[in-house]
Amino acid sequence: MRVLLLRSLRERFRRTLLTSLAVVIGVALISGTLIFTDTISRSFDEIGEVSYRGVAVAVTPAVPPGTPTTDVGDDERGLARDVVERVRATPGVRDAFGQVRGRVTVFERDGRTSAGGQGPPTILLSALPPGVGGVTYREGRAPRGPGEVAFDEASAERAGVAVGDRVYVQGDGPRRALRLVGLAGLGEGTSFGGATIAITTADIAASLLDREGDAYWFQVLAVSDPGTRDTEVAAAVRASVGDGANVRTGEDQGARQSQEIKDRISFLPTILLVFAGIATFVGAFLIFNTFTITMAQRQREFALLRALGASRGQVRAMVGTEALAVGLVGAGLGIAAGFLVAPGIRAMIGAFGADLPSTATVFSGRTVLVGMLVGLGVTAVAAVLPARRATRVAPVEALREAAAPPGRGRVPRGPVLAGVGIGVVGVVLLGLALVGTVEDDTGTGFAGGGAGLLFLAAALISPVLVGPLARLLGRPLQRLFGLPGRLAQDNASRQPGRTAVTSSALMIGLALVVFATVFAAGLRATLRGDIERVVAAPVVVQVADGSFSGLPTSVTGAIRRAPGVEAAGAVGFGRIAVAGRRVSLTVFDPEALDAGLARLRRTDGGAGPVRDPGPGRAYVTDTVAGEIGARAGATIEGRGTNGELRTLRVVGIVEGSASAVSGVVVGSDTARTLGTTQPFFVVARGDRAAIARALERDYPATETLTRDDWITDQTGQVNQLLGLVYALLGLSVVVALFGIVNTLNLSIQERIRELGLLRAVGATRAQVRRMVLLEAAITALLGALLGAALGFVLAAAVGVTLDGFALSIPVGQIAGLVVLTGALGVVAAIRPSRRAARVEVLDAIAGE
Amino acid sequence: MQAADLRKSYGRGETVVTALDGVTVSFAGGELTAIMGPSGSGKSTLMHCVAGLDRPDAGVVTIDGVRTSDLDDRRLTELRRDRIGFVFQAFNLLPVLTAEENIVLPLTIAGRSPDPDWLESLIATVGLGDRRDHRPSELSGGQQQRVAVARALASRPAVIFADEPTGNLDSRSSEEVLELLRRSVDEFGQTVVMVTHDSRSASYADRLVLLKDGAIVHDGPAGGTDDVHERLRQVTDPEAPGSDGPVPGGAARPPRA
Repeated sequence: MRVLLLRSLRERFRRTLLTSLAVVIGVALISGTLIFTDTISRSFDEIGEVSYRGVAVAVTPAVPPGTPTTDVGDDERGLARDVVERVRATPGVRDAFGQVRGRVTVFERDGRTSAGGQGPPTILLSALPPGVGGVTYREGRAPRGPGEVAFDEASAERAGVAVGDRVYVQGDGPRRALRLVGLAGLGEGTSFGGATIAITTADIAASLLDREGDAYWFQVLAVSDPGTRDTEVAAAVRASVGDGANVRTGEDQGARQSQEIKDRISFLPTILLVFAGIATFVGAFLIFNTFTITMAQRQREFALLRALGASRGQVRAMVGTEALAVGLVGAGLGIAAGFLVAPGIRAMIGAFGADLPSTATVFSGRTVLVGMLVGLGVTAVAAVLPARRATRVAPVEALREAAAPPGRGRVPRGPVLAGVGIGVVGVVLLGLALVGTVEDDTGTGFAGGGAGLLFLAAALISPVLVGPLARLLGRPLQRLFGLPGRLAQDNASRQPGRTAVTSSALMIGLALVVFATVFAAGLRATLRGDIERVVAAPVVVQVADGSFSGLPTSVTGAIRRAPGVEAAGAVGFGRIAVAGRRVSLTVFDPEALDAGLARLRRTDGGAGPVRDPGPGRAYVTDTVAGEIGARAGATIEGRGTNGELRTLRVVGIVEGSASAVSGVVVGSDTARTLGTTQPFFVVARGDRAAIARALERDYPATETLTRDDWITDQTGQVNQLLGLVYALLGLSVVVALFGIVNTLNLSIQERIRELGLLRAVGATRAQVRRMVLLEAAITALLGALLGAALGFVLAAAVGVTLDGFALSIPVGQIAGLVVLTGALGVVAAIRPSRRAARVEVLDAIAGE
Repeated sequence: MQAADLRKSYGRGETVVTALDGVTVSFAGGELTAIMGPSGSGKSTLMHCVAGLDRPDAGVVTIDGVRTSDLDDRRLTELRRDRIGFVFQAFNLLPVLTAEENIVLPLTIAGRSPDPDWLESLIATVGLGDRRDHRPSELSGGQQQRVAVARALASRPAVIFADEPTGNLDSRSSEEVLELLRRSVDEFGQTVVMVTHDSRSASYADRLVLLKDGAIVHDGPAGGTDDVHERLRQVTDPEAPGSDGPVPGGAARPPRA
């Protein structure tokens, strides 16, 4: 039996490989993601370790429990200036140094273009003495004087500047010119993990970042006396600095820092794995179909083995081992391909402006294990039913005259009913997740599982739809192409199950693409509606590179001073924790509301325009009022990102929206006491060109837009995200197209006599070719139509549950996608159609 | 090997077709039996039931003293594997295996290794010494069928069933294959049951069983080609006299088969 198995595999090598390909793509994505994750994880560990080299004890600000953190920017916390002296005076400490840290903008050679990417931050650090921390200077020296700065090597290169050049850095104030005196690195060969790093003296850093008093140092680092142990020194330091700070050994702090960064980017592997999972799910359909068809074609072989005395178990074992081989080959190739995928992921993320660190590629046992398990698991699941079918072949089949020609398959009722059942379960799961009965991770799981079941259900039910839909699509084809069109329609609906599975694979990909498209369109419409309602100012100033990062605090003043500006006010976003819930903090300069640049609407019956709430007062949006127990006239206790707890009087409830104004609304003075200072937009009434000119020299990283342009720019950012989703879903579509190729190839092989007959009675090669192409088009369009319908329904279902979501139907886009899918199906069928057209009349009629 | 009162019908209600209508037959050792009959007479069904490929609706099949109806699928499979050999009309060789590998396939399935002497004499008998490493696609039809006969003989089964073994062969190849079946009976004492509709093939047999409408209408010595013809004529043509019992030497009409 082993000989037979090996020979079978060898003979069918090409097909095995093609089938494996479905596994390869999924596994490659998974293992690539794992390799990528492991590699950057190792890099961050290394950065953390090197950054605290020579440091015995690190002191960092402590915040009370329940302090919210922001998703963007550094939270405004710090240690008081005198902490350095207190640490230095501790026994066992030889010396102590404070370090200032914050976000800045570094400019390229032209002094106008921001040199940082959109992902990793641009960070300003104050210099430490040699040997403390891992910073080394590859060229030049450390900054010593007030006008000096060092950049990290990679960023200096990107910015096109060299040691000795005049360079520009912008913190909270106007852009400042400094002299580049050094190029920095970490340790001997480590990069800063893709972050852009600028280093100045502590005084300059503090003035650039507007640090003062209580929140001055980002951390204080201690070097210990010889012969002391870090843990003992840490204990001593803890005693001398008190409760307001965390005291850890340098080693612990390094590990903690790397963990924090890893946590911050942990969403990335999750997202990638989800898309890899989708591609694998689609691949399972392909494997299932290939196995089903080949099993049917090999019925006589199995029957013969059975007649010769092979037991069911033996046949099952043989088919199972073949499936195993497919899974093994696929998983092996997939894991290997992961090495190519990992840098691809890096490059893709890099293309979005986020360089991530790279060390030597980390290939862990986990990658192999997960890749193998997924590859084998998927194949096993997909092969179970076909294998069982193979063992059910009656030995008598071997005695039948020639293999039965592929007849018209009926649609068995069982699977369709099962599909309906599964569909109901899927809808219930999805419903529970959407309505919010289950939340958080369980909710996400329910939603994902529900959608998956829905796809499965659609796949099971779709055989019933194949006939009618094929007729619907076939009629115009018949009119257009005559006989080939007629036969294509016939062939497509001849074995509804097979066509359904093939198109189902495409359906999944397309459903998700359409889902994303509809959802994005809705998001754009919602965003536009929300922004239009709130922002009335004719001019808006924002960061130029399109990233969601803040503006220098001082920019508002500069705008107000511009000629002809009637009013200007900053708008900012932060976080606040109220009643144990983390909600958004929306910040308006008093002028923004009082001058009518931004408008809010009371929903609690309060009359008149909504004005600045005043110090210590807040509005709460109706979207969260119930959640945090706020009502007009009462007070709420809110803890800001700086850890401070403030009592706020609620002066009214205002209309909220998911994308513009939500959570707690306060004036900028109140926000400052809660740790939120950075403006994200400045809304102004005045001459756009005049404002732009006023900002040109000191704030080159800003752009000044008219209201309409700004709104278009904001909603357009949704498209960028959509592009990324398209790219990731594209892989699933590619897998599904392979499915079309495979199914067609197998079907053609099965129908070789028929094709020969067609040729014998006078069909031209071109007609045969056209027939196959049209069959592929029908199959692809079936998947596309089902997918579009399913995707639209899913998007509508999700949209309905979101407050204020404006569902908009991008009809043109969806139609375009459907047509594109049909065209892709035709492209996929080019090779199989050539093969079909090559069939020689005599060969086909002569038989086996 | 015995079959008693086998009954088998297909379909239901008005469309019911009775394939076997109470057939009782036994096959003795070391004998070549030909089963003949017009299309739809039930000869294939009889063979399928007796060979354990199909289960009769009623009646008992006994092979080597074992009632096949008592066996579950696994035992029946093992019985087929160890005690029954098959030769098919369409050869049914596995294209991926060589001639020799095809011959020993039943043994391979059973997880046994072939007795080398037996294998050699088998290959010598079927005359494929120089072709043993060829794939079926490199063999002629006659050679393929001889491989199939060798495969059936390989496990020294109690009985070999041959289903139209010459149906796809030209007359010279047919002769070789029939010669081979004959020799396996004469030299190895093999029991062979052959279903055929070719009178010349049947004339190689020791015994002729004629079926019509699911029942045995003749059971006796096969005789020569002409004898077989005559029997067949009597069975298929209800007008002809003496459609029961042996009629020696009648060759008045052209064959209809």
